Amino acid sequence: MSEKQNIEVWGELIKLCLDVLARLTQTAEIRLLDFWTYRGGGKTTFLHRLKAALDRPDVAVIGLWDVAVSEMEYLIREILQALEISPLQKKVVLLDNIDHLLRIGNGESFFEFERRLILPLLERNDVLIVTTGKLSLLPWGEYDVRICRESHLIRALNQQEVIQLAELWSLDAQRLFELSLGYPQVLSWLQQEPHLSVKILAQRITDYFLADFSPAERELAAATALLPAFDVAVLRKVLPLAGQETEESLYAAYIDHIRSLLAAGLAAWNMNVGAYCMMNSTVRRLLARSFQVLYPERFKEIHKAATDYYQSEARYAGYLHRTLVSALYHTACVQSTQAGTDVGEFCKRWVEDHIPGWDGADWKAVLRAWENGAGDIALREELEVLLGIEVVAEITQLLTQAQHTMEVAQ
Amino acid sequence: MIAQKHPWISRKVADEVYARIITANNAPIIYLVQAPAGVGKTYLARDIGVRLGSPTGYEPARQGKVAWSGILDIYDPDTNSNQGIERRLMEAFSQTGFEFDAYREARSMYDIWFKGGIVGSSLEEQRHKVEVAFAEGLKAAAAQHLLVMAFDTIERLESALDPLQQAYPEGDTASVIDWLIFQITQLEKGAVLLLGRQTSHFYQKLCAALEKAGRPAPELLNLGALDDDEAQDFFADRAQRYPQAARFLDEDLKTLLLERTAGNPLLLDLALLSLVESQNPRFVRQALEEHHDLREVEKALLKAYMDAFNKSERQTLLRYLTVARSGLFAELLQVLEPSHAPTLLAELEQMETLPFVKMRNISVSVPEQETRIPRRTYFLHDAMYALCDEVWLTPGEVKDVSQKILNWYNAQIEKSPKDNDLLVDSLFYRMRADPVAGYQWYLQQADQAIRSAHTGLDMRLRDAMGLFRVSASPDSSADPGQSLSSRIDCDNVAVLMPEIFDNFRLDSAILWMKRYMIRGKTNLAVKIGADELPWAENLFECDRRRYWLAFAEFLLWYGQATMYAYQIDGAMKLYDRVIELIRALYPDVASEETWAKLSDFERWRLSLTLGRTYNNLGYTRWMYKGQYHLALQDFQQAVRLFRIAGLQIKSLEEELANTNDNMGRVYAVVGSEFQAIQLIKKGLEIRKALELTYRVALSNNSLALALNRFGRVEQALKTVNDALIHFRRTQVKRGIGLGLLTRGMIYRNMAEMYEELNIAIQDALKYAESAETDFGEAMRYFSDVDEPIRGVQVLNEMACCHRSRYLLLRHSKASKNEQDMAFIQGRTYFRQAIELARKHNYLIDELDSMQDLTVLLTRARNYGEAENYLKDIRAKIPEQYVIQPGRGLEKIPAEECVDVFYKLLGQVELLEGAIVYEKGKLEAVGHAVSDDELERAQPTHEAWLETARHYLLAVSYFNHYATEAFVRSLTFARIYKRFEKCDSLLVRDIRDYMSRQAEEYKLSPELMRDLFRDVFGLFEL
Repeated sequence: MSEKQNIEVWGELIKLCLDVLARLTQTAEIRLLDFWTYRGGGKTTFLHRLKAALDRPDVAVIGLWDVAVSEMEYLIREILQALEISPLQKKVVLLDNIDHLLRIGNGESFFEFERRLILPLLERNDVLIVTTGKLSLLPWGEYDVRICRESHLIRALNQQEVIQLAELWSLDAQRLFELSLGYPQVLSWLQQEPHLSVKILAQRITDYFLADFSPAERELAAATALLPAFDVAVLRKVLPLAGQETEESLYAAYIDHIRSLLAAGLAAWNMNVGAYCMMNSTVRRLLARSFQVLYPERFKEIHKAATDYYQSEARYAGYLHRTLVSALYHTACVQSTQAGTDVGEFCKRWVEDHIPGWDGADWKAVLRAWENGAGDIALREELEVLLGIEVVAEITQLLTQAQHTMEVAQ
Repeated sequence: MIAQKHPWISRKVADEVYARIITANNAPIIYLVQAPAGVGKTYLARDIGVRLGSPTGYEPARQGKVAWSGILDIYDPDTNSNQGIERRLMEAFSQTGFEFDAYREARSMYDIWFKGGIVGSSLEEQRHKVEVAFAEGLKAAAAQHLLVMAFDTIERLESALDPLQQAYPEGDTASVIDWLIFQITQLEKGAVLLLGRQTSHFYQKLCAALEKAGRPAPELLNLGALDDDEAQDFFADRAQRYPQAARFLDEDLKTLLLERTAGNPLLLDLALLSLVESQNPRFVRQALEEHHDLREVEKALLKAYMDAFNKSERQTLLRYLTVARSGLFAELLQVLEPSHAPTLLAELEQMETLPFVKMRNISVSVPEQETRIPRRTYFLHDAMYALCDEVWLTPGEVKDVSQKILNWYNAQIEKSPKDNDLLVDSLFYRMRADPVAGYQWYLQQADQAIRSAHTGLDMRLRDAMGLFRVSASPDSSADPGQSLSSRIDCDNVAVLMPEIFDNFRLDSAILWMKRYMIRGKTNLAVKIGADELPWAENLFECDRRRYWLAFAEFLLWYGQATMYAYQIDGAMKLYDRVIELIRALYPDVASEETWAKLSDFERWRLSLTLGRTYNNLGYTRWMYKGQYHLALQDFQQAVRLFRIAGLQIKSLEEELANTNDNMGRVYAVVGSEFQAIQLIKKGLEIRKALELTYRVALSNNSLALALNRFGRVEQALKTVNDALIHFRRTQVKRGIGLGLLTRGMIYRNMAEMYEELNIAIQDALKYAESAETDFGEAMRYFSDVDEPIRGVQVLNEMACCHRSRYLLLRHSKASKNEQDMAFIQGRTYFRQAIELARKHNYLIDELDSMQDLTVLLTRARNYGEAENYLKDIRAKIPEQYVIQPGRGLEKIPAEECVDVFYKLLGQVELLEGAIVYEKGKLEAVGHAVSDDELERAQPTHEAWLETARHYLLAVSYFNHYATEAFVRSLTFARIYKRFEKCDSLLVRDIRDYMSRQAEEYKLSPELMRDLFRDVFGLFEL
């Protein structure tokens, strides 16, 4: 994305950095900010924006260093030297693509970098380190590093920001937002090729986001985009591994593939749901939509299999808070592919029919999961689109009533 | 401070316990150490074990005069049974190799018995001998050493109790809990550590038992949180173990951790690990500060493992460990993840250092060998199971993985069907993979274990099911550290088999009745049936469709228990109710179509329940009611039902063998030789194929009885001797008694039939003596067996033996003294038999003995007393059975008909005929003559006719219950003997008279003609 002088984006993230910098003292808790987003999510652009915002007389900005292209020894030397010679009270070190070091060999470079540079910098009281990468939680080895860092998502542009861009580029704002969901790389493609067809865009999105995966991993990654939450059990249903692996391995083969998703920053474990989730909901939605465009039948099959799985799991009241959202989501996705179906009513009826069997559920957790999309607000928004806002509210009402009735009975 | 060599912190209480042990005097020291999960009970035991010389505390050791047993975990397959514990303790404590010799002998005998099919009080007695012998063995081992025993996870003893055990808390040493209590009460010195969560029931039982045994009460030790010093030691040690922890373990954090974990070492470890491993320790710290429980902290630890993309092996292993509740080991892992097994195993070994992973060397049996070898088996700590069940796995996932694990167990069971560990360990997975199928499997296995008196397996299966039941029971009120409930199992059962708890109680009642009957404790079986019937009835009424078969089975076993308790009418009512119940649901239960619609389990259960009901009805009708034909019909129904299920199942084969045997015996009674022999041989064949050696002996005994009945005495003798050899070898009193009784009967028969068998009279007397010896010995054996009917039979046979001897002495012209002695002995025994039969309301046996006594009296020419007895017999038989002039034999409905009355009436008529004949001779002679002269005399004309009339009536009666051929064998010789001297005029008169009698009594003319032709046709007319 080219420089947009008059468009303010990621304002709150920039402000966050400035606030942390302002609090930088000997006793400051946070000295390391890890920003993350997936490929094409604007990491470098963000750092440039931040660098511009840090253009102040009392702050020395050291970097912007791209760790992916810089030789480590050189990097360490240059940064330390720059710190030494800087007379300013506060320093900010900007490191782009820091997780690249994890992908070199066995990843030991990353930990060496941590030991030789990051840790010493954090021991000072005048340095704020800002990194970018793809992982939602960089696996720093040292407790002293982990305890003083925060991780933040570099979100996609919101609708307001996209509208501003659209005005600047003289493009249809609604179309631009609908096709890109505010994702920087996609916005960039559409700026350059405004008439890109949906299908070509879908293919490009898929190829781009899944470029680093092997063919087998690509299939898995693409499928998981349809599953807001997934674990090995549901993957076995929607994506049986080919050949001998399927018959022999219950877990290890799948976990091997999931590991590649984790390493790429595409997924991570969500402890509230007790399952893996795609961390970047914009990427998930873009991939999911692309999948539907490119493979509509397979799209239906996967959602159907996931529906069967989650509806079966949703029978167990004790686990409802972990399965309800997925059960309804996939049901809605399946129903939305059937012509003439009132998706909202169908889902509401399903809830009504099953409520009697949910005695013993942790209703507080169920309602919380329902209301926050199992921790993914974007998912909640999707559900509102699929079911309709009114139906979502009615389902909330049904669940609340069930809670009162069953808790009183206890 | 240097990190401790062992992973635990030494507790002060360990010092106290250790000091007490090593300074023990001659009184036994018993500690019951209670604490919630994670407080350090096992570590405490290990600490003590290490101090006593064990490398890790788990293994047995000897140090000086102290012998440590190692830790016996009641959860493990090799120590969740009496025999398993015995084996481990012997390995640990035996020094000279001889201390447990008596135990080994008793145990071997016990094993041989139950494998051979011996059941009942004899087996139960032998089982007690085993446990007493073991206690003596421990005493012998304790003579030179101070024995220290440690039992872990004892809360399993309590949680394995089923509802009936709790309701009927009588000590049952077949179960581990009561066996252990018994052994502890027998200790004269030594130390016992019992470690587990809260076990109030066990504690009370133990205290009561110790008090009764005059032993000191156990010391209850509630192991609590780490105290201040221990906490400091803990943190210091962990700072060494987790170098990163040293960076953050300040005093504030320590205080916070202790507060949140209540000083529980395991929870402290989890919290520390979470801080060390989590990529977001700030979140962990916040969770510690804001929440009062550790759930968020624990979840963060799991997230750290799940996100670690360079350690995927750990993720895989944690999942398997969570599901593999019976332990994860190399062989299983090889099957679950063949391509990844080597790396997974390497990681598993690394994970041993984690505080929530436990490794134990569990001894497992080697296929087709007697030996056991240690196998490294991994478990999660209970607290970790609870966490993973709740926040990580789902019931569906657990189902899938459990099924795969179960597939492995099933394959192993197929290779080694006698490996009980496999059966028991697989149960938990069966219940998780499919609770309905798993439960049905359990019922079938339990039934087979009980009927084959495999008490060890039975109890282990029951315990395993009891543990699952607890796991599946919601337990919201309990302290989480005490709870054994699993959310996975609670939800799985709630969705797939919510009725399991009611089922379990009903089936528990059924199984306990069966157990007690097999063990010869009929009174307890009856009590359970009576007490549980109202509840069972109510359950059935609530959902008839669901409970019809289980309730029917309940009624069957309650009926059988009642039958064994000689409440015959009550038993028959219950059997009738079973049939009525089943017919109500399946009116056409005899049709193949009905059976085709049932599942395999339903077919098994229905076949067993209804088949056994008919068998028992048949048995009752035969043994206690004398309704032979009805009995045969019942047995035929039973056979059909056992066959129609079409299942190759051991239990049904055994039932078939049993029914064949019974049916053969009844055919023998009614004189159908071919059917009798064939059926008994069929039963024998089945029992041989099933390798039930004791039951084979019982079949041989039945065969001998049948052969004897048909006069094939030599063959009978050989067969019964075969049976007796086996009975004596196994030393089962009941069996020996039965064998002796049978052999005595054969000898007696030989004595009685000496003329037909061409046996010299002196030899016949010897046979009578042999019979008397056998009966005497049988009487002694039966005095220890609670079966009054056998007492009656032996007395009667003894009396008959003396009767035979009396006759032989008369014929051999022995001295009057000898003859009188034989007579008196015979009469005395007959009176005893009659009295005993009256006491127990055995009407048939009473009348039988009276009839037999009458024979003696008749032989002794004591006609007056004989006639009185005959009159008594007639008076006790309902009138409708008596042939009346003008009416003949009344037609009695088949279902009411008592065949034995016809037999008795026939015998009465024969005797009356004999008396009339003899009196007729005396009248004809008119004065005293010698025996020889009297023997040659002819009765009066009237006496001839009267005798013929009696014989006509006798034959009529006999024909009504027995086969024609048999009737002839009963009657022919006697009648022919009497009438062979008739001249032709007399024969004509008799013929005319009998024709008129036949008409008067409305008897079949063919009967008269056949008899006349058969008997008188031998003479020229």
